Amino acid sequence: MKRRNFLKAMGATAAGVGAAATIGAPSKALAAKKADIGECKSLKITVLSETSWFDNDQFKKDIVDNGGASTNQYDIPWDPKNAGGYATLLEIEQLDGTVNKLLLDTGWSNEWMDYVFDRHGIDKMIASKEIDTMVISHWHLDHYWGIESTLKHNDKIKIYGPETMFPEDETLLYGGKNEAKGMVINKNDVPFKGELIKTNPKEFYQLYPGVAIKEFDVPILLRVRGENIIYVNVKDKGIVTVTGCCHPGLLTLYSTARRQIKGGDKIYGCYGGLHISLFENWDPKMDDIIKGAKAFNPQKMGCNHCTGWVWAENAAKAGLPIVKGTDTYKTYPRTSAVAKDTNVFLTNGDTVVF
Amino acid sequence: MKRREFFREALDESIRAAQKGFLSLQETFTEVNESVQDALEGATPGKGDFFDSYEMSYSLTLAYPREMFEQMARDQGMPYEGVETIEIATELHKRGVI
Repeated sequence: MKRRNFLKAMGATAAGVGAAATIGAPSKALAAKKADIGECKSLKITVLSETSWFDNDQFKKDIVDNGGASTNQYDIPWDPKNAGGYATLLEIEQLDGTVNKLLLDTGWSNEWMDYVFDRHGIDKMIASKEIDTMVISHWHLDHYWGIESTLKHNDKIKIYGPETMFPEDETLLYGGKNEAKGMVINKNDVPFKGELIKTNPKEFYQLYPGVAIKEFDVPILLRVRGENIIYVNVKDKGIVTVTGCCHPGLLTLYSTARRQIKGGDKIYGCYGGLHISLFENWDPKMDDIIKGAKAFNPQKMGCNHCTGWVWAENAAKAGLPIVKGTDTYKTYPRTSAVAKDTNVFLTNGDTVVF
Repeated sequence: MKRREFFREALDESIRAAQKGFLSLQETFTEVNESVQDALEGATPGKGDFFDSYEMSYSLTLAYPREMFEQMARDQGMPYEGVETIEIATELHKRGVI
């Protein structure tokens, strides 16, 4: 008999005495192997930019017209007018009051990212080394191709990126350009001179007390593989996952926390793209993602970007604690074509504290 | 109230509470699929395979429009009509396409 069937059967006799409360408890055998990433006091997220592109239809057309989703992202002459970028500022308050600032991702269009970094003072924070570390979640264009916007302020910033790096990614990092069908699709005039830590799925990379990176080797379209996830353990609250796109899937992230991180059985929430309804398409199976997320009882869910407005709206209606955004995004020079006045999720310029 | 009636009512009450608790437990298990249940139990979800279920692979299999998978399947000469997206994606992955 499988363990869950056994538990089901046990339920018949153990019911009424709070048996349901024990379902989420991890096994003691696994607890011994857990990584201790420490604790921090709080985590503040600033959404620098979650609008990776502005027109979903154009982005999809660029993919379909150039061979489809399995095409190498470096072989597609992307519409440059559609490029935005994804980047997030994490401010981690330690138990002693010290605040560490960490940059997640560096966007796509240099013009857009220069504006974003200037607006939020990120350029000065990088130059002064107040931000001395950047995590690249994955090597997709909208998270990485804006690398020059970061390096122009400090070409020695420490970078953590997935080990699944391709030669074109390296060309861009170390000062070069890439072309697709005769068109320059990205460039970086500031060669990287710092330390690049290539992350692999075997380890947790601790950045500060309570903050660690874990790489997941998962298939991603446009010839990209692997994503770095930031796990934050907030004292008395629990685990918060911070993602670029969450390509490994929220279930895998939470289950990994439970199995591999000390204190990881207490999930507090998440921030970032959840990669559910990228093009605002809806499939009834997405209701199961809502049910699955609810089973972990998260207290605060900050999501945006590739999550899709449609999923966030349905998830909020179903009772998931989706943090609403504000109208701040309207003060940016451009907005996404699918942005909604319902402000159902966090978008450009919004903040959330865990 | 007689002593016998008191115990009978107390027993009935206990049985009702037990039934309610059992239904609650059953509901928790039936609302989510096996992958989620595994994760909740602190075990590796499913068979530990990304393509084990939609809950595990949604970021690939549900996030993109179906026609994108059909385009990739067509390019590979694979059948796709009436085939679940997760099955197409699994085969594409086996072939090293994604």
